[in-house]
Amino acid sequence: MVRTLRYHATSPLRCLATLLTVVACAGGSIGYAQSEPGPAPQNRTDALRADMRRLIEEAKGEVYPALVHITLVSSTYYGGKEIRHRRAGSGTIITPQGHVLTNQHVTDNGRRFRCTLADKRELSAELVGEDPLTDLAVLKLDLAETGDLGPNVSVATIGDSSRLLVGDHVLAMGSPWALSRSVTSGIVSNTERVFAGWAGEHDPDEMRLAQGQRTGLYTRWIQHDAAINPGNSGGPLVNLKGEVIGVNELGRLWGGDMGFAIPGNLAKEVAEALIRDGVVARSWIGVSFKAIERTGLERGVLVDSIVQDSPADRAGIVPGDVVVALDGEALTIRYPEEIPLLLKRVADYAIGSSIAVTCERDGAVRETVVTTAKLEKDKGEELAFHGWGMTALDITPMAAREHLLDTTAGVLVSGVRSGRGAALAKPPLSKNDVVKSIETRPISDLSDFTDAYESVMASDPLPEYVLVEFERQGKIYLTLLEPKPEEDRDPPPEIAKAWVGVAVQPFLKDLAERMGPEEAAGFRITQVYPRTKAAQSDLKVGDVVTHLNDRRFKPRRPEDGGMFQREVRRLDIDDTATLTIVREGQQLKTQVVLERTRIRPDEAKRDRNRDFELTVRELTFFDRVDNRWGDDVKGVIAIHVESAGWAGLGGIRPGDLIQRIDDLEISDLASYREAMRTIDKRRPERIVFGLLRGVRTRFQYVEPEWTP
Amino acid sequence: MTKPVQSGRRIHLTAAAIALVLFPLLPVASADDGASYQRLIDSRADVIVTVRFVLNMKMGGAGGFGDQETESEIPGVMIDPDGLVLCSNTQFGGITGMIKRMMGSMPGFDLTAEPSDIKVLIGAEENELDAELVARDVELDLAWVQIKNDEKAKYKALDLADSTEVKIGQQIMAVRRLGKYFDRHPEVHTDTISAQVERPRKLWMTQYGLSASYGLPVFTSDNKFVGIVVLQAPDDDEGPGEFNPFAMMGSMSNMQDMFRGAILPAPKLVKATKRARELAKSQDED
Repeated sequence: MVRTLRYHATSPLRCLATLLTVVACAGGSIGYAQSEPGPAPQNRTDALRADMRRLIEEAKGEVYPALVHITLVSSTYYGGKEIRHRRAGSGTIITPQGHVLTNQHVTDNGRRFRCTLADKRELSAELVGEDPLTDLAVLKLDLAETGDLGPNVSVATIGDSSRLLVGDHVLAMGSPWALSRSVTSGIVSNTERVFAGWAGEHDPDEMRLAQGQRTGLYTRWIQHDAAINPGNSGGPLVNLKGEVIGVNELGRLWGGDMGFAIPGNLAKEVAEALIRDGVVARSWIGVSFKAIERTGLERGVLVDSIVQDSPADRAGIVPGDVVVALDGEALTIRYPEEIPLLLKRVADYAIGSSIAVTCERDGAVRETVVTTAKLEKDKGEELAFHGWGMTALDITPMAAREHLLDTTAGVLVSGVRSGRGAALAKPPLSKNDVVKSIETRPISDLSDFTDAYESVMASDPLPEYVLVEFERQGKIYLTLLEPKPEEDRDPPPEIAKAWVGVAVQPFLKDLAERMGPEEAAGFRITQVYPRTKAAQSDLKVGDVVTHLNDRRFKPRRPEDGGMFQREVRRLDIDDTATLTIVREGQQLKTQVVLERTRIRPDEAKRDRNRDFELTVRELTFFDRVDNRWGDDVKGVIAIHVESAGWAGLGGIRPGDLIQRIDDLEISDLASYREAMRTIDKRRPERIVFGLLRGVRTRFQYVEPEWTP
Repeated sequence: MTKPVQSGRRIHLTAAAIALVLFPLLPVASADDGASYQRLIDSRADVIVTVRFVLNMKMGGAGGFGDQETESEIPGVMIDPDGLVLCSNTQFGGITGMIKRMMGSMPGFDLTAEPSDIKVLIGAEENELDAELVARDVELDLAWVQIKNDEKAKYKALDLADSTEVKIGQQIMAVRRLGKYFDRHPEVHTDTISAQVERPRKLWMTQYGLSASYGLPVFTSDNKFVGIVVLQAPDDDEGPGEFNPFAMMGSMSNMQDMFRGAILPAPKLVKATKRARELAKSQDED
């Protein structure tokens, strides 16, 4: 998925685009003038076209075989629960061992990574490492799965992105809208794009991934106009030498003329660290810088803010200081585009390094030494606790600062699920509360919380309430939370009433006059349901029912269709009713035994399988009628399918009639349950679901991820 | 043209005639209002309970964002000393049936709403009594909730069989409980019978529609039980068929009637409750 940029207004951007077009055209004219006398114009155009085609073909040929289409199941946490999605992105194989470079926002909270190579082989992959601050990640293909085709994969080369110039031709490759192996072309529009605000500020804190994770701190994006769309994320930006010079990350939602790629040099450095260490270790001093443009300063860089108790704070640096040198080297950051380079320079120090910082304050120069600390991740791990109806996060130092917490001890409630334990607690837990203890047991982090949760949920019986201590805006509260596993429920029982197994239409006066005598106004039978007592009676399609016992039917409008069965429902089940009917102009009386209303689909009994994330219900009489299924059609109907669950990933959809699971025939809810128990014991790698979808049979292959 | 001033005698006769015509349409004598309100609260408020539950909704036939729960409170009336409570099914998630019918056969649209974690609160008590939904009648808009009465407690209950009929123009009263912020204190609502309809069944309509009173019992001003306020949804085959948002906009005025409360007469409640008990018993036996 390409992340979307939102602009406050587009007019300045349009101006910029226009300017670039003008410059490109001027360059072209100069180029022609220098190449005179040259071939005739038509030949020149043809030659240029041929050259471009060859260059593009060659460049494409270098990288395209290493292009990867990535699919995965990812989790997001919203409203106190985990929501899983199917996601697709792009990537490039960068080592013979099968390392794939992509975006971190593609892999974020992901599992079940599947990579389709350019030659259409599909392999599993595992996550090697992620670096959200640059939005880069590395996967590793499981080359053992290549089987007879051998473990060889094509590898792309990461080129020197610093040599890229505005106007250079580039190719974007990837899977726009999950359409794999697509190539588009364009030119470089800007090589040092930062997203400065209207006041010319570049604040790295403003650009964030999910859950407040900052990104792009060290990035000056390559802006280009090769079309990229959601799904291109993580795919390569390629120069005409066939080198990867960027990783596409951002674009306008509906494609268009603006794409933004992370420079290849930065991507290479991060990828190497991830492959080597699984993480990118960085130094941190706790300073936000501001370029001196519009400050009236002549040199240095302004200290915009200082994190309390950070290395810079401890070294005595204060907001308003002007840093003029680092380690004795003069420093001037005049424009926002230079800020990422400074941040990277600081981050690149080994953790624990001493940096000599020269500051100016009130006209005086001050020297100090800052000892760098490890840059911690912004966002803590997040988990859902279904039995308590909440999600919670580990508290990172940054989260503690942003939530004005004294310590990182505890877990931050990131969402509560309405109607579940946390939301119904007395008093209720809320988003941003910090859980400090469970049953007086202190909670220092998410691991402690998970242990406490699992301990409670393993109790038999479950305790009525769990005592939870939490902090809210500096105040410490106690509450009682009712733990509860998710329950399966059948629909509420409905009172059965009398029913006649026919479908009718109001036979109104006008229609009656047109078709026959006026006395025939009533309800015309449009269907006699098979396998009902009505079917055993004398009733036929076309009969017009004028009376039920002594009650005369007088429908007045087409919407009166419900009147017939409503009158029947006034009577009792097993009563014998006399219907007066008009058949071919003859008035007849016939008797029919009233039977109980048939179970409607929304009353049918259900089964929910949590492993497959599939809910099915029994087949009802009305399913048979609507689909014209005879008694020989058996099965259960899928009604809820989690799209990223096993059944959903296997292509099962709501409405499918499941008739067979592997070799097990499904005739009803009981046989379905038995089959699912058998499958759970067998734990096969792949399960074939035999379905009826509409009028077509289908085979859907479900691949569970069994856990011990 | 200016008419001549009528004589004093003729004026008095005209006024008397108008008074005779209008009198039945007016509420009962205002001088008695205070007493009848208080009498209703004193004698009937104890049978009005609060039913608290979690409504589990699934929308769109899929999980994820379409899967939501919300805690709700609705009024109910105790109709059996052993803890049987009668409520409006609409407020128990039954409104989804009406929404589905209004949406007709809109592709991919699916909506279910089912209650769980049902508790009954008696009077102003916050002590929650566990309960279960034992039966519902979608057509009549009724739901029966049984308190899990392990201690065999006895509750004050309304006798559905002890009822009366009403006529157009007659004032009716309902007692409901305010929310928890007002300690569930009882309050009285009044309205006037404005129509008696026979379709889809015998129902009394009121001037102001009683739409805020689904599930509440209605009494005459002399404290006789009349019936319960319900919502009468159209049947499956009375819906709009194919989903057509423009048609829905055109029928907004009809929707006003669809959501109007109506009083279901007590005899119908007695019969339906008999069936509900039978169903509950058969479920127990199962």
